[in-house]
Amino acid sequence: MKKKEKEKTLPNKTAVVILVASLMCALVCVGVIKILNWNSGYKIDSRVERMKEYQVKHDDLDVSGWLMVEGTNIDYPILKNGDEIRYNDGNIQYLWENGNMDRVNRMNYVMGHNIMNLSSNPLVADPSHVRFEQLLSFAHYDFVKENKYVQFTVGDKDYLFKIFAVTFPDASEASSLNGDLYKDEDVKETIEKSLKESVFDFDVDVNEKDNLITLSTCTRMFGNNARNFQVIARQVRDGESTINYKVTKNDKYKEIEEKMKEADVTNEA
Amino acid sequence: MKHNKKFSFVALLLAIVLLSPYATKAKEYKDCITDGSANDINKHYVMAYRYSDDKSGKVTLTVANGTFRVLKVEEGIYNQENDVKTNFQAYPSVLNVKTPLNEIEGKELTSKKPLSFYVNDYAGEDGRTIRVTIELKKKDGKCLSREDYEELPANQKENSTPYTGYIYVELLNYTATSPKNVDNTNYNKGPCYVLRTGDNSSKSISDEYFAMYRAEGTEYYKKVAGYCYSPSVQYNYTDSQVKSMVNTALHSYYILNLASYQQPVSQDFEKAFNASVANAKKQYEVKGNKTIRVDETLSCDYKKIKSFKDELTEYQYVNKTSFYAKEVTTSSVTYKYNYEGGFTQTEEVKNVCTRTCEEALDVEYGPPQATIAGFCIEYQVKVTSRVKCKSEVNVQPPTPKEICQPVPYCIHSNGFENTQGGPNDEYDACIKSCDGGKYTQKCSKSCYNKVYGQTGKKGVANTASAIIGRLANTSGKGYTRSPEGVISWQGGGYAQWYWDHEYERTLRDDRGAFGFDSNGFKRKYAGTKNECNGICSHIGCSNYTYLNEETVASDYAENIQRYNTAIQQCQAAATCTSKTGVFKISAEYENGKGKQVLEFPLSTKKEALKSLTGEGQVQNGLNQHTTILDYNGCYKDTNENNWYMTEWSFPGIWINNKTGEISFKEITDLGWHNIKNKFCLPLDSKNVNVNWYNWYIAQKTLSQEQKDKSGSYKGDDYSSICTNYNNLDKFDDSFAPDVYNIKAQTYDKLDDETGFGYFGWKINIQCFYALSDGSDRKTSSPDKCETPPSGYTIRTVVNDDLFPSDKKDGDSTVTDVDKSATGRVQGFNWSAAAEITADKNEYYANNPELIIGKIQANGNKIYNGKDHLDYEFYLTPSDLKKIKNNKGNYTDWLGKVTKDNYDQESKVYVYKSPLFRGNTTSSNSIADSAKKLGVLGCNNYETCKNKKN
Repeated sequence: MKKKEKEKTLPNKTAVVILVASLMCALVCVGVIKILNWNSGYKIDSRVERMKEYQVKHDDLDVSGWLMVEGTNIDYPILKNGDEIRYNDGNIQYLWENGNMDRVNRMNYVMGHNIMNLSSNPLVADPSHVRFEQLLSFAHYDFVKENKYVQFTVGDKDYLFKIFAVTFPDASEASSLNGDLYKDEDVKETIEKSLKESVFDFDVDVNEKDNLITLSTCTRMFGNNARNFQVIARQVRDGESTINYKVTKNDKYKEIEEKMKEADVTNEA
Repeated sequence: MKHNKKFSFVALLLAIVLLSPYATKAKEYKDCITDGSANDINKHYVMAYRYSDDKSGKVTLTVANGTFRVLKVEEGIYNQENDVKTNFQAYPSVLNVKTPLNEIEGKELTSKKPLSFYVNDYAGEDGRTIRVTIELKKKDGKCLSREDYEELPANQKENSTPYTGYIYVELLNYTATSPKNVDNTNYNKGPCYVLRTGDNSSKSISDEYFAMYRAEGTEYYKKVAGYCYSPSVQYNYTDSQVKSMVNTALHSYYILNLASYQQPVSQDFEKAFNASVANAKKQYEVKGNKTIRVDETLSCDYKKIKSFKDELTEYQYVNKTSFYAKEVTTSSVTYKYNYEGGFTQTEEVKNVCTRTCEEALDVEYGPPQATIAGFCIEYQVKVTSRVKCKSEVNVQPPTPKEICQPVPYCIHSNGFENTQGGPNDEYDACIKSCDGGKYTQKCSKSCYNKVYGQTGKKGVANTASAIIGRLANTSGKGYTRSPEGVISWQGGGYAQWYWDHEYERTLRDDRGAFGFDSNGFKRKYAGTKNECNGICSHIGCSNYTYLNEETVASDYAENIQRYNTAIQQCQAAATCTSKTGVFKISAEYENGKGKQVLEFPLSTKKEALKSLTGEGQVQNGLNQHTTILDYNGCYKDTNENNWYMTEWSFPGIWINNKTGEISFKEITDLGWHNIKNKFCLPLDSKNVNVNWYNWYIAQKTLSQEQKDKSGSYKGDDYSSICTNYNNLDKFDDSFAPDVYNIKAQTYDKLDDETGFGYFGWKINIQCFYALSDGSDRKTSSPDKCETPPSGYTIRTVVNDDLFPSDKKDGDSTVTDVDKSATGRVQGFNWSAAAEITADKNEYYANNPELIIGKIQANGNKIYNGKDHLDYEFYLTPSDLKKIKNNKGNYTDWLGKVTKDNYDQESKVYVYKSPLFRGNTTSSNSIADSAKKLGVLGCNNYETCKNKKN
């Protein structure tokens, strides 16, 4: 009898062990994968489909891409020539580009509005902010330390970019046209200018063979229509990791810090 | 075991499920797989083209995916409906493609292997397009390729077609970087060619202007006449505009490089001018003004008398007074600007150049005259002036104005400020008033709600920022401005100055989605999406700006001409004056009827010289009786435009041959003769200026020895004249004239119309003559002082009534015996008692009454011609000397006859004077001066029996 009972319990125990082992294995696998993901850096969260759906839903708009920025709520369609947009319900939030953005170009420019975060001491990742208002978070060193990546979807594909410069260029510099206009020397010139003007030094190399993306918006930190705010990134290269990397403040950041101090400390929401 | 297997399977499935997010999906391919979104296929293949930047017309076709083959290349136009090009109409006979078609058609096109060809530069505005049809050649899993198609069964082929796409290449004017230029039609000919090369063999530039050409002035010429240096221009000037521009360039460079410009004069002129100025500054200096008037009268110096040399024939000017005047004028120029829309401006530029003219004037006039009644005097005046003008240019010629380029400015119906991603001005203003511009969160929210509302729908103005640059394919000029100042673009196509880098403002038209309205503003094609329906206008140019090159060019050409005119007016050498010189001279005398003044010319005819025409133009003509002796300079020839001269005098008089009667008006009777340029005092003229007269005679008559003597004589006034001769310059004013009875002037009225020379000088001169009959002279005189003759009486008769009655008709006291052919009883020699009848002496008959009758019948006609003239002498001063020195050679009254051949039997004694009839070589003979001598030994007869043989 015991042998039968034994025979009967033996299969149950094994099953349980196998089940538990499988579950644990699965969990461990998931956990490992997650850990691996975390240790392997930023992962693309595709917006290809969302972009298509958005276009179908808003067939009066011309959607040319999609943009996400790490650490912010910036997760918006990029429209062509945002000037002439007619709102359907008035609550559309969007970014825009000028030109022919139907694929990733040598240099890509995306613009967005900043109406609510114009002060000299911008808020960081305020949930009430929309459009490019949270982009000003990159004016703060602590935020920059933790967030480095820009995901850009265009031409049915998602691309990842690494931030290498944060600048406050003169407002008279026009927003630039997208398209296949640019050559290596144009890219090189932009890289040199961006690195020179950047208020942070990022531990990432960039050269004229890289594709760049510039995110541009307004600030009133230096007065009305005096400066813009830009975050510039270069495309992640094949096989390159997307983990976080170092960033330090440089001498130019002192001015930003001073400006922030001048801002109203009671800058309450 | 089965349970274990089941469980394993479940666990495995579970694992798979949990890991499934990381699994990949398997892909399925179909013909032209599309997700249903708009432009899906286009976005996949991205069939596009681009022009190269080198303006060569190279077009490169590209695709993002797939391998295509070019099927066809055509040219035509298409309609655009939304994003879809439809109804392409090809022009079969036209193809603006430079590359041979066999190098394009049939060629492959892939993402890695773009295809290039060349097109012509096309300036038309009809939207011509090259349509390139490409066919998907190789399988790509997206659409049906040619390879796919070939593998289809025959029945499927009928309903299938390989995928073809179109690339529409817009034909452009890709070489234009500015509004279309045209060939400069004046570049290689005419004045422009001469200006650039210095070769005037074609005589396109006048000699006068070409003489001012300077090779080193090229850079300056380019500034003034830059048009001439461009083979391709935006606007062609007319021939006259080109000529004006080039002449101005030459002239102004020449003038600007002279420190000052002065009309060249000869050394003699300069010397004379300087001498006059020096003389003037000693006497008078008049600071220049346009109206020159000499208020004071010039008086001849009574101590300056003429030389006494007998041989002197030329008139002596012993008085000279000089004047000097200077005038400085500046010229200005007014430029005019005629802007589009009828708006105008003027600009006055003062002191373009400065002109200084000087005139130095010499007035020469004669000495006083001494005369006696019945004698004539002469008096002359001569005025000469020299003019020098110089000028300096102070202002350079104008340069063409820039045109203003209006900027397209649109106010859109909605949207934020999209150029930089910020809020609009209204929001900024709200923040400013809320927290002073700090953009606190509190104020940001409140202002956002206020300005944009909850839905963020409120519109803002959209501003056009800095202009990046002109676009390559603008179609040309054509801005207009309405009278209300509204600027419109009429040139067709896109207006100029569209911003380069913003899609909504650029000319880039890759997808054919954009177009322009009638005012040149960029609008998207009408459709349901994305219309540019904002209010647009051209801003940035005030009403007083030029919009087009053509308008600038036209005004510039005219303003250049205005400048040149101002310069020429300033630069002009002294021109002959427009004033009229009027020349008068007068004399006065006093007789029993009172003071008589004779102003010449006597008639109402004005004797004047007009210099403007360059001819001595006396009204009613200069004639032989004019006062004007000579004239020159401007009065004769306008080429002699820097000097003037006039000399004038009395016109002359007519004197009766017998009686010496004077007429100041012309008498044509033969018994009168004319003495030119003299004024003769009538016989009844009274003495005047006697003190001076006596002093003058003393100068004339005393010997030098006597003049040198001093203090030897005492006595009356006359002797004191002799005594003090050598101290003439110390004579007091008692010898000054009482009356200035000769006057001359150069003007008619005290206005600007008449006067002498460049500045119209009004010159007054007074001088005098002195007349004395000697009656007031002392008769006694010292031995060594000579006295003039005195104590003679002159009496004249009237030929037609030789012995007029001193009683009236009907006077009974006159008897018939007393009367004869005469009115009164004549004296013995003229009476019948003196008749020598033939029986008394046939050789010397004489009948006085017959002679009286003959004389009275002829009257003054006796003096006509020389029929009744017996003796005529023209006595020279030397003749008078001989007469004076003749001490004898004739018999006394009782008649020692002369030798020769006369018959004493006639009892007629003939006396022959060797003075009149002697040997002409004799120093005592004046026979040469005898024009006619009467028949010797006869009286009033043509033949004479008294002459033997």
